[in-house]
Amino acid sequence: MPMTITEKILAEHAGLEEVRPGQLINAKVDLAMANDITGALAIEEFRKAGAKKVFDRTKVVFVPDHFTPNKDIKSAEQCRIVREFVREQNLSEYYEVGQVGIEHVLLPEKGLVLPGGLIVGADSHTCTYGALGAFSTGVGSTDFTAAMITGELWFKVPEPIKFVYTGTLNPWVGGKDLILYTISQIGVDGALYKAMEFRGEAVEKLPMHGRFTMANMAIEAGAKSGIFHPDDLTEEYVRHRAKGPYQFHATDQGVEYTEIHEIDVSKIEPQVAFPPLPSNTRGIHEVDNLPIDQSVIGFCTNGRLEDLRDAAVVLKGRKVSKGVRCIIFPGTPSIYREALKEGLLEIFLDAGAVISPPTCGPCLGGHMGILAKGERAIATTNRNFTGRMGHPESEVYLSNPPVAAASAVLGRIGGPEELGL
Amino acid sequence: MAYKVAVLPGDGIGVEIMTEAIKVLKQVATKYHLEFELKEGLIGGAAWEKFRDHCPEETLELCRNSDAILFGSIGGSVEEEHLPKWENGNNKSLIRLRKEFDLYANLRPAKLYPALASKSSLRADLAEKGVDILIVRELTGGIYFGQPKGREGSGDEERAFDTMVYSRREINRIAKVAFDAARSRRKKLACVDKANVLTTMVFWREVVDAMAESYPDVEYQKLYVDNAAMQLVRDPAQFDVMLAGNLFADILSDEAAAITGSIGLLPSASLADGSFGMYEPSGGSAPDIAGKGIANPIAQILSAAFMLKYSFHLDQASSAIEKAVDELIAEGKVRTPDLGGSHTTSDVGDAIVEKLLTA
Repeated sequence: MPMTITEKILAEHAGLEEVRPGQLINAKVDLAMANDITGALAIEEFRKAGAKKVFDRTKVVFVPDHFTPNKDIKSAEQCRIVREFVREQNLSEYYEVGQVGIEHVLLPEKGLVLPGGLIVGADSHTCTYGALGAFSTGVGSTDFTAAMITGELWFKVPEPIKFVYTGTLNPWVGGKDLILYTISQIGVDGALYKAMEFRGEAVEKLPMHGRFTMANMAIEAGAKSGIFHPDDLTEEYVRHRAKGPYQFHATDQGVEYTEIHEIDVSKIEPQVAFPPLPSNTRGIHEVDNLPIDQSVIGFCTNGRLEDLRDAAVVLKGRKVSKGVRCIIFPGTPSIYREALKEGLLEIFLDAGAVISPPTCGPCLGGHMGILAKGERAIATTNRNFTGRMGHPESEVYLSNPPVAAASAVLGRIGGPEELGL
Repeated sequence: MAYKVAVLPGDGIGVEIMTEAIKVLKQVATKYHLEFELKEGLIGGAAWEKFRDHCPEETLELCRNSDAILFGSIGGSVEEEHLPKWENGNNKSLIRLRKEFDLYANLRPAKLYPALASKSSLRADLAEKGVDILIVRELTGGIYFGQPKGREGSGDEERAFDTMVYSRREINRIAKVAFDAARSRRKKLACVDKANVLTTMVFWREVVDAMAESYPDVEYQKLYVDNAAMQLVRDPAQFDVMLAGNLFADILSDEAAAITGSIGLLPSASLADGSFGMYEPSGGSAPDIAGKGIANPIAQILSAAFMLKYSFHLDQASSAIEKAVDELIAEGKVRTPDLGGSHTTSDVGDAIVEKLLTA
């Protein structure tokens, strides 16, 4: 029977000839990942389960990125627990402050997640690695613990839902806008427990950073996973960094999808997701006068070098509006260093922005830029729920980097076109 | 700090027209939330007055620390040209700057504004077809600079010589500028040479032919320079971008400017590799009208627009200025005396600023 790319990966890792949507399977994981928050919880479960060793010291990775550099005593203690466990288990991959980056930018950069792989992570946005043509999904700390101990996890094979993007992208429109538009069309549970498959000429031309952005937000439509077909762009990305073997899979002809959505990207302009949901999205031209207090640019959704370059193009020779706090969050130390070499950080500093070490920081209301009562922020993050970035009476609007940068200059939500770009 | 500009007004009308260009730049900055760092320096006769040097080290240092040079004009009146203040001023400053910054690509547009067709030397039906040409001139090589150059012998056998020489590197880099410009305009390029007589020009054509392969989207034609000179007066509408070496383009760009009848409106750009460039009006310092407040600032304002486009890649901002100028000329209400009006230099600057404000 014809299988989708997702099904092929699951079947292979489950040691089965084929799998069907709805089927329950046990599959081996290539990598299990957790961060400082979920990791500490998982280690507690590990102890409770009476486990002594992780299944494979090269396939369990902890990335302390949420509340680091240590936000407060509680966070410091969580990090200590993770650090000590890493030492005890002699895990081969661990990243301390100075090497650590935001997990979903770091793991692909390090070549630890690869095409054809099966990855689970104790973080919602683990779906990001689907951009590489891998099956990758977020799980709870307890499930992660099970994977950590046995190297396996149970899955229910998700139904496939296909998205075909045709046409040519408009200026300043990228992966973030495509996924925000998509979620606005189907709703935050429009792909519930399904495997989103991103296809079509427009995404075949989408560079890797745009694919990571799109796959990153598959969970915001309720999806189990989001996947791209690996191609030349994927090969170019993984070739020199892969830490292991990888495999390109493709969906067979004749597969039956639960749903197919056709999207003409030439109709899409830069998108802004209004609070309180990522699906509450409008085109930039439909945005009225919305003054902002803060603009945060980067993160796992849009913190790659190309994203920073896009923001720099807008901020170059301009100043952040008086009264607006603009903070840049490069995804990893490598990206930070490249941005420095390319002169991007100088552009940000000249504009009056500040640069944070790689951290999730304010995205989930942690640290490094929390909002007060009545404040409004534009962010290149992936969630804008009530109270997400601070006070319950603050607001978060989601956008791509150029819009977030233009908004910082204008002092209100607006696009690069208003700056003559 | 991005967008650092070395502002060199120079002599004569340079000071007056530069004031208007700065006015327009400041309005563009406000409109597009940009920050320009504009620093003034002395050049030409004005520099000689203070430093006894047409191109003082201080000015060179300012240019080195800038992203672009906005240049006015230099030179004194014909009667005074032998005075130390003016003698060799051109060589000492302009040529110095071109060499210092390796400004090898000179862009000279020739544009006929329909409202000013009567000033053109073209027959009415030809003027009606319009003229919008960009001449790309190789500026730092060719026969003007080639060695050996000199004189030898005596009596009847005394002789003088210059050398026309071009390297593949020099031809490639100027050809690329021309092809890229054509791509951003109407996608036509005419390579002008003398590939029947001159060895250098045979080589020139060979190298440009090879580059044409990488630009299949650009319509490519080749002309001998004598034919090109004829075609320019016979049917200038056929041309979009014209590419030639230093000597030929020097002549053809003046010819093209003259047929538009409005050299006072034409800007120019001299580009290095990367984004650095020098932007100046095609015309001179017009010492006879200096200080009278009637000089036409449009060429200087358009030079600033060229700077925004070629050095800063701020295309929209650049187009906004060009559009404002097009409208102003078409409307015909605010014109300096050279265009038959009675407005002042400052009136024109203000009118452009007003258009940018309301656009």
